[in-house]
Amino acid sequence: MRGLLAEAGGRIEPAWYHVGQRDYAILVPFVLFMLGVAVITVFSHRHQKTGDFRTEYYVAGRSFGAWVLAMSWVATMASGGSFLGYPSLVFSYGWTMAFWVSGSIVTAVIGLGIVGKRINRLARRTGALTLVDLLRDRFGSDAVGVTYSAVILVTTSVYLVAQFVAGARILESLLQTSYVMGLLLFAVSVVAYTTFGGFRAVAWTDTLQGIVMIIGVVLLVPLTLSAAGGLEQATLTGDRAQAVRVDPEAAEHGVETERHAYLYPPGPRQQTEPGDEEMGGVFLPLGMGLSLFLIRSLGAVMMPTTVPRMLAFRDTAALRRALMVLAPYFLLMYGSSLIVMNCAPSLGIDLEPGKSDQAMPALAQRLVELKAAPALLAGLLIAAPFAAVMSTVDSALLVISACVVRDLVEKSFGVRLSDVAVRRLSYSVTALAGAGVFLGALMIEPRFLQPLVIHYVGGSASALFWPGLATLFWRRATAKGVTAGLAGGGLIYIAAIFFKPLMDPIVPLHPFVYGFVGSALLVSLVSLKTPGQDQRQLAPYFGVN
Amino acid sequence: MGDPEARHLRQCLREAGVVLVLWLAGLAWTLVVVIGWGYLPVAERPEVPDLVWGMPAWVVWGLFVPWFLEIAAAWWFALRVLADDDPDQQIDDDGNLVAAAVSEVGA
Repeated sequence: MRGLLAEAGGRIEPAWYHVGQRDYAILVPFVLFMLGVAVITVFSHRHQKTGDFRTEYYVAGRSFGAWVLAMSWVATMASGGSFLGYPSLVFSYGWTMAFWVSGSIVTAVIGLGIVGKRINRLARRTGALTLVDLLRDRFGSDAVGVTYSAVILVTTSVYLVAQFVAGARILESLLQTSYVMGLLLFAVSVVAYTTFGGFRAVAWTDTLQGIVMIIGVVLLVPLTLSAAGGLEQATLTGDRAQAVRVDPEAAEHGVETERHAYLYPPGPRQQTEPGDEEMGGVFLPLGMGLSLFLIRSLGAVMMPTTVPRMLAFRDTAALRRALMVLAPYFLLMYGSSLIVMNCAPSLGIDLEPGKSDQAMPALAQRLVELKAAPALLAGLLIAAPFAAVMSTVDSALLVISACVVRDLVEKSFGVRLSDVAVRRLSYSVTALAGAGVFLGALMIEPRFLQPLVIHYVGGSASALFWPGLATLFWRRATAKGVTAGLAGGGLIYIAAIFFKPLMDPIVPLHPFVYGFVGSALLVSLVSLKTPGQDQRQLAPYFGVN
Repeated sequence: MGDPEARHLRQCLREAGVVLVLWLAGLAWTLVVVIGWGYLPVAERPEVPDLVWGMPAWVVWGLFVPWFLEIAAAWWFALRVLADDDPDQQIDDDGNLVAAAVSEVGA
């Protein structure tokens, strides 16, 4: 046992690599899911040996049908934030979280309906493999390409760290091992299949993951409601109902919990770090709720991890059917989380402060303990959030790889590479990005996952939304205007994070609102102040008037 | 028939306009209900909260009802508004689509 266990202060503690899970009924569905991912990866790799490597690795031959488009889009959108972070906040703040997620009622139609068809057509006409290709080619400007790439690299890296943390936490809980071991296993598996399989493996595994995710979370609803004795019991009448729940932050500061704090916005007090003297403010002031509606709806339009799908679908029929699949998907996903996590406190789930991101796997395990769900089902329920994390990480890793190899090395720096060199470099960058993020996730362990995810969506939308739309739809947009919007939107967002406390007493808004408005102004004003493109340059994108 | 690219752009702008209206409708509905029924001052919160199917009423009327309506609207948009504009097909001078073969993934 000496190899597995280490002594600490007279107490024997498992070594970091010790795996304590012995309930094989929980492990079986999870292992089957991982085997499915491995098989898909091998098949995808075979595709890479036929046809052009770049087109295959980055846009899977532009051949997605409706199901692959829908599932890979939603599986990428729905990350550890949706399956761990959001449930964690519902567990911590109750029904208030209904307003937090309300922007998702239009996410599908906004995300696919505004730019999907336009990006796809222009990318085919111009041979663009990435959105950066499209922007750079329209304006014939390296400055646009480099700025766009920089924004994508920064925002996607932050996002990846959050997702690695989420993946590690799930494995920590599932395998009963250390955070480090969970992180290591997660990193090795996801980086391996992304590197090896490319975009097609990512899309196909996303499809599998999207199906596992929705089955898992929807199954939780009847099981949880049955275990809790119904929703009304969990909300109003039970011993540990949300209506009588005590706000721990208020209690710690000797303040009485406001009446029905967990039933009505702005909700209970925000949880602060242990030992903080100042009590946290209310969780969701109206301005912040409105900001989140905007982020959750508009943030889907130009999100770096989902836009590559717009370059890869086959035709409008695929887009149409994907939209019809996705519209109810979001309701099932967030509606289910909202209901089950509002029941979780009444099932006796108590998590240490800072550990509420494990609320979803903890609920699955609690249902097994209560004999409300068979252990095999618990394995599937835990595989669901893990699938969500994996599907987002693989897409983000490929975005980084495309950004570095295609957009920076080949296009911006003008390095001519053979197919073999592109292949090797793409594999290396994907693997190196994974290793870098692994180190980041070792050093950072956020108290709540969801705010980091919102920073990714908000930050990227601040910088990318208006420049992207202007490129696609506005003849008068110029390279300088778009570059100003990209850089300005991102910088204003960062500045607003630090100066927000000064503005909060007036109207508490998320930094996204400032970056979004600033970027819109910069794109439009700078474009109008600089000379427009000539008709010859514009014709391939806008036709001849 | 006009320039096919200009025609494609006009169609995309028309579709984006419809999406904008759906977005504004969702935003307006949510805000009206959540502000009116959700953000109640503590003193005005009822002793026994108004529940629908075990959920606070503002959640049902402010989140789930508009969500169902937006799903119906998204289907209408997909079936009635989103026009066929196969991106891999060229449009000839008579406005007819010229097909090009591509490999398939998925349904």
